Amino acid sequence: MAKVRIENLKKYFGSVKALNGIDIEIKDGKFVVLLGPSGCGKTTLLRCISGLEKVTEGKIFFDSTDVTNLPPKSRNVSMVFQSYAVWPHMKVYENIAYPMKIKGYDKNKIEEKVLWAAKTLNISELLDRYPAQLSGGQRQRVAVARAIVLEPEVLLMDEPLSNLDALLRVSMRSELKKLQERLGTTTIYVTHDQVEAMTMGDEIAVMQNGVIQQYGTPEEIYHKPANVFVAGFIGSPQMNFMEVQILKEKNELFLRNESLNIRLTDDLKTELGNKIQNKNDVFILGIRPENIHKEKTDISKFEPIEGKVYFIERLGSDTIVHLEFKGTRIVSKLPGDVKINEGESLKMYIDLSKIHVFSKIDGKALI
Amino acid sequence: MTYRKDAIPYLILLPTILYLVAFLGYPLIQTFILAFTSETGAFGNFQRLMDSGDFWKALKNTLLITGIIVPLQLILAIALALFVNMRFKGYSMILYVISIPLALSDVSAALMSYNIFAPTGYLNKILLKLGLLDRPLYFFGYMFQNREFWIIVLTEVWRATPLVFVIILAGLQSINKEYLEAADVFGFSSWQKLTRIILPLLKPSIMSALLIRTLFAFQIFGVVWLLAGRDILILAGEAYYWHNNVNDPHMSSTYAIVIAVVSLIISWFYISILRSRELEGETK
Amino acid sequence: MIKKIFIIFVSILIILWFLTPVFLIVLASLTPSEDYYDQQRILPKRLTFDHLYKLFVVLDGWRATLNSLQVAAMAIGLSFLVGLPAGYVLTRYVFPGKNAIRLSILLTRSFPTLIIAVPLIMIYLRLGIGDTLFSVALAHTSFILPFVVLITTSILSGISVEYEEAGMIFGLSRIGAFMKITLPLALPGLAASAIFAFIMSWNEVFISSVLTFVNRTLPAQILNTAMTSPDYFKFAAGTVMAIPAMVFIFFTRKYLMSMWGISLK
Ligand SMILES: Nc1ncnc2c1ncn2[C@@H]1O[C@H](COP(=O)(O)OP(=O)(O)O)[C@@H](O)[C@H]1O
Ligand SMILES: [Mg+2]
Repeated sequence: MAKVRIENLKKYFGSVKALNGIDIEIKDGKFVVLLGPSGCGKTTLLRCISGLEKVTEGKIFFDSTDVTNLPPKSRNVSMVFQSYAVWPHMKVYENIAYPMKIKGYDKNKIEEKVLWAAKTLNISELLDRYPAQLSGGQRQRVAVARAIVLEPEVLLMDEPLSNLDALLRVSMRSELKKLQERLGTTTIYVTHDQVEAMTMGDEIAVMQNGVIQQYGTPEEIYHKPANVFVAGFIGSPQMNFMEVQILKEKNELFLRNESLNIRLTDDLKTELGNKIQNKNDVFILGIRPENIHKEKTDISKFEPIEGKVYFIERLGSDTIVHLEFKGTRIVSKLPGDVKINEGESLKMYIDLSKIHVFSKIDGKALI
Repeated sequence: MTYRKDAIPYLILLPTILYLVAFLGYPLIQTFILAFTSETGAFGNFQRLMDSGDFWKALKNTLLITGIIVPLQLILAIALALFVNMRFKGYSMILYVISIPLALSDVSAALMSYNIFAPTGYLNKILLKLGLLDRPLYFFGYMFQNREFWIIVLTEVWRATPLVFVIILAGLQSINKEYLEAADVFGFSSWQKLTRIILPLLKPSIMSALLIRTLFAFQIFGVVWLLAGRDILILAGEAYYWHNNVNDPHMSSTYAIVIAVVSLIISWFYISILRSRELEGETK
Repeated sequence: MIKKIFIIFVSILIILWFLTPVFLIVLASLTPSEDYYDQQRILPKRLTFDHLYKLFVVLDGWRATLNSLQVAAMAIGLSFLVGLPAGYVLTRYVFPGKNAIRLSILLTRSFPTLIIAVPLIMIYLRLGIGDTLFSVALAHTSFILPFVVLITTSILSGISVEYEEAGMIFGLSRIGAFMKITLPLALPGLAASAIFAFIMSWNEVFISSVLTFVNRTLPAQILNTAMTSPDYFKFAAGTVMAIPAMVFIFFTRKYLMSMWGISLK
């Protein structure tokens, strides 16, 4: 078990800058998820940590040991590959035992540990089979068993659930998470699936273009996105974005564009007030669909919007309403049982305590 | 994949490259030097070549053999590949049978052919036994050049059609079945499917099979040498003859260069056809 | 039904067309000479191993066979020694110039090997290895090596890198991971390509005939003595050359398509 610290890590493939200055400190025993769209460098980062990929620049520490230039075998990491990479020419038992065999453990110890790992992953009956005789889910369990058998300092997983069918994926999520909690191994888990990230991660690092955009708990990532990218990437349906100007009138702040004119609440006003320099700047207003309601309540301030229902997606538990509102479309997420029809006109309320404002220039969140 | 700027991949590839340079590149240069040195100047050997009737006969025969066997092999191979690709029960056995000649050298193919067509060969025996002949039919010997020629063609077709077959079959198997299913949906007949879908999609395989076969056919040696000796002159045979029987490496190399140059022209020709077809496809 | 009859009919035609010459040469090599020269006798009264025996023992055919085997073994050994690592590098590494190198290796395959035969003699004489089996093996290596490089490239790229990387994660070095993980997985394919390489060398006749006079390989020996020996010796020799090649093809038939696909590209 170890703390993982990465300093200014860069990895270039020729002219492709797969990682462009990664700084992160992962506390001992945490389950950290690397989340980001395809091609953002998640796998590359994981492979740099494992030692399979040589870094172009920067340093990687496990606790206080600099492992940057160590080969994988000297790092005490283990890994679950996306394709599982369960060796096809070895039986399940040998697959799990092999890492220990390489390291020269004695036979009894190996057997004890293999049986333990197999029991932990519920694959004790499969030890005598070849990988070709296993289902995808079983193969994946073998890969995990092989990865934990040596109790590594750092456990790396690259989209381990992406090749499973939907149901199995959901049940494996909780199982892997529970396993990690039990073992307490520092785990770095790559996925492009935000639900997986939100449900499994103690902490999430959201990546884009080879850079970590935000590192924080799932709550922080969701409620306090650091920039437009994170705000847009997390949450489904996606956050509504609108360009607005911020205007000061009689000691009040207004977010205004052709269709909206929102007076900010006092809390937000003080928070935002300090951060605006040039009042002619354009800003981006972000509103999550789930923060637009059909009724208002007293607990917070609301801004009404009225428009025509353009399209409805009924998902059972939720209803996604696309509202045509003064030339823009606004998406809102309502309960599954609301009675609305396409084409009718509808009045809805934006919860003003939950809005986000970003700078248009660098995308950074202001509130 | 691992990306490395360092020298490891080059170091590992170095022996292969060095080997090929030493044992292909260097001798190739030597061949040129040999061909272009003679007592009568750089082009003396070529002059001698042009002036000899043998060269023109050899060139004519080589071109003729190539021109006859390559199209024959192609048609046969396409037919065989279409047949095997029906995937009937036991098709893999047929596949193996067809591929047997792939393992045979030209020498053994020639001997098999000789075994059938020799004066005491099986063909004559059978025809005599059936009373269709009263004297054996002769296929070999200087007086029967014409027959020799066709035996050579037959032998080459037998021996090398499987080569073309394998390439075509690989091409057939890589055709997405959905194209054919779509054709079924639109009510194409089998013939239309063949001419409108399968053959056009096979074009790359056909072209590469043609290229390879033409190149090899142009280097034909063993079959002719064994069955006809120098009754039927061919380029590779002359290269061999000048070296082994006349002991003149210069003339031998000159023939070799001619083979190489014509091979190059043929490749270039095929590749440019392939290119222009591709361009046509793009502009359409 | 009609389709079934058609398939059976065509299958029989194919089998007859491709197998009859093979069957007949084996038959001829086992036919006593008096039966062979009897125009009225198609099937021999009895079978004899006389010709094969004479070919091998009296006419030194065993030496030529042994020579062929030695040449093939040396050429295959050398080709794999040099070519396997090269194939590995071409699949597992990305580096500038990789495609150019692969393409040049590919191009050597369309190279008429016979045009280098003559200068090779002089080179070998200079190196003091003229008219030796080793010199033939070196020449054969020059066309087997590119085949081995290309075929191992294709075999190794069919084996997921992740197996090897898993090996490295779990405690093997790069070389160790290749030896312990990838090599066992590649072995059947590599064995099949070794057999193909063997056939290439076993069948090659032009270079062997030009390069050697005393130490001839089997096809070279046949080519140069066939004209002057009795027919049934020729057929015995043809049988001897054909059988091993056919048996080998049988054992590698699973790989047939891919091998020839690559060896011809
Ligand atoms: N071996 C490689 N060679 C060249 N480019 C690569 C290599 N591996 C990854 N890349 C590039 O680096 C970027 C990040 O890739 P990757 O880490 O695999 O993304 P992710 O796992 O987030 O989908 C991509 O643009 C990808 O094309
Ligand atoms: Mg990835």
